[in-house]
Amino acid sequence: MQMIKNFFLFLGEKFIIFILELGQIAIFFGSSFIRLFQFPWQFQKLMHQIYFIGVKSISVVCLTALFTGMVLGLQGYYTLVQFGSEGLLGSAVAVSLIRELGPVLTAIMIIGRAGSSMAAEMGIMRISDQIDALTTMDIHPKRFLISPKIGASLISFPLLTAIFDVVGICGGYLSGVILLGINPALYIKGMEKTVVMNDVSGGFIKSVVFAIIVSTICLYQGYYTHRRADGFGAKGVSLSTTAAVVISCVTVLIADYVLTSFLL
Amino acid sequence: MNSLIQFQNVSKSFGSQNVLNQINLEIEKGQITAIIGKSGVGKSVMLKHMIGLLQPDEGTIYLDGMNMSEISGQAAKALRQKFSYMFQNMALFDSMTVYDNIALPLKERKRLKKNVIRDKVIDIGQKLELEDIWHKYPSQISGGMKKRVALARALITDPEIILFDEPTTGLDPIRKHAVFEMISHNQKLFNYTAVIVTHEIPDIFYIAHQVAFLDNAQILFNGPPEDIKRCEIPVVQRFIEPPYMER
Repeated sequence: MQMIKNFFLFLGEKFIIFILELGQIAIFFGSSFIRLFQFPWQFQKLMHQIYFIGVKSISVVCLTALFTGMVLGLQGYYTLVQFGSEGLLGSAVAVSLIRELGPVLTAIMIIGRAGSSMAAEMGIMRISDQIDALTTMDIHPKRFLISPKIGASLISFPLLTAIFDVVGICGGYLSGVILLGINPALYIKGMEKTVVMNDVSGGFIKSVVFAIIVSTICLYQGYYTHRRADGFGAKGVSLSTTAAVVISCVTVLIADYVLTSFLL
Repeated sequence: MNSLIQFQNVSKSFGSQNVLNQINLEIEKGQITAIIGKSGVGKSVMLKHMIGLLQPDEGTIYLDGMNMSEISGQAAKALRQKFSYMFQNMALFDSMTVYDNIALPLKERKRLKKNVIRDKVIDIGQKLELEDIWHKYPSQISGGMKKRVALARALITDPEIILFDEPTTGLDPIRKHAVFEMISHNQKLFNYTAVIVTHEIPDIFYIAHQVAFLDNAQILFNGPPEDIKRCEIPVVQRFIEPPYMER
């Protein structure tokens, strides 16, 4: 009986910690996001972050999108050809990319490229007292460090998702039309008929939500590296970076399911 | 006396380690106060309490007669702008050049014109012999140079209160004296209040008006540097007069 009681006590304690952490993450995002609109604008820093998060991710996003589209084209062709419906390949590739794969894979690629880097940068700044130094200079660390990164993520994620979708569709075209010989008009027309504005806006909403999730979790993990009980110094930064990547990826997938169920 | 910072029964613990225990200390306005003591006794912790980076578990810290824990909003902002802090590990921004590190508080806080900022940075850079390293990053310069950059960053805003956490550790004797001289000279010139955590004995006694000796979470001595030599507490004696080693 005591064991069961202890088990529920443990479960309850973990749940309360989880809810408190969730609240802290929400406050972290809110207080940083508001400071994005505080005068004087941090336009230069925002542009710098858009370059780092957005522009520098284009190549990796394009490469991932191209091969994802090509694989979709191949897999889709061999499945559809069994039913004599290979003409639907264009719509199958476009819908799966615009609704699901585009936003999710873009988010995961950005987590790997920019999210981990943001978490590590914040962690190193924390353990080397650089964040405290900002406080002592009366420069708000969240406004100076976090806000531009969140703003840049909110701008970069939807744009990169759009690039992913276009390149992915081209990849599907490459494998379906060029390699496997589907009629190009069928591919394009099928896509035109099936894809509606709701699909595009759904993908856009997802990319914005993923931008909030990824930037907030990665920055939060790095910013509060010093609070970790399981590691200090370089080990703490390494654990924070790992946690940022893992938690962001899992949360993106969970959020994708939740959003899809609302958007469908 | 004109007390600017006042510690009243301040206690602070980290886990089971009691770092400050019922500390009482008064820092006088327009004076140089040195906090000395063995490594790891909590001298930097005291400095971090003064600027609000750490909060006491017990007791009160008064700044200009105001309880620091009760100050918030614009009053807290105004208060923070009076301070400058030089960190023990320098805390320079490693993704910024030396110039940008020094100019940062002016750019972000004072919002001065570019040419005014440049003139101020160059002026302090000349005083601290930093002219050749403007475009270098902190990882490209020596520890001593980093120290001088951190010092320049602390002095650039002409603060009223400067907290120095071991400002001369790692510097050669010539530069060490130059730094102490500069602190003392500028203090007389601008009449700022300085609190210096240091191990540089006896050098600090020549510039400090007041010396506090921290050991075992307590202030064992607090008074003018002339008096510390007459202090009969053994640990203070051992600290200020290390025995000469025989060859």
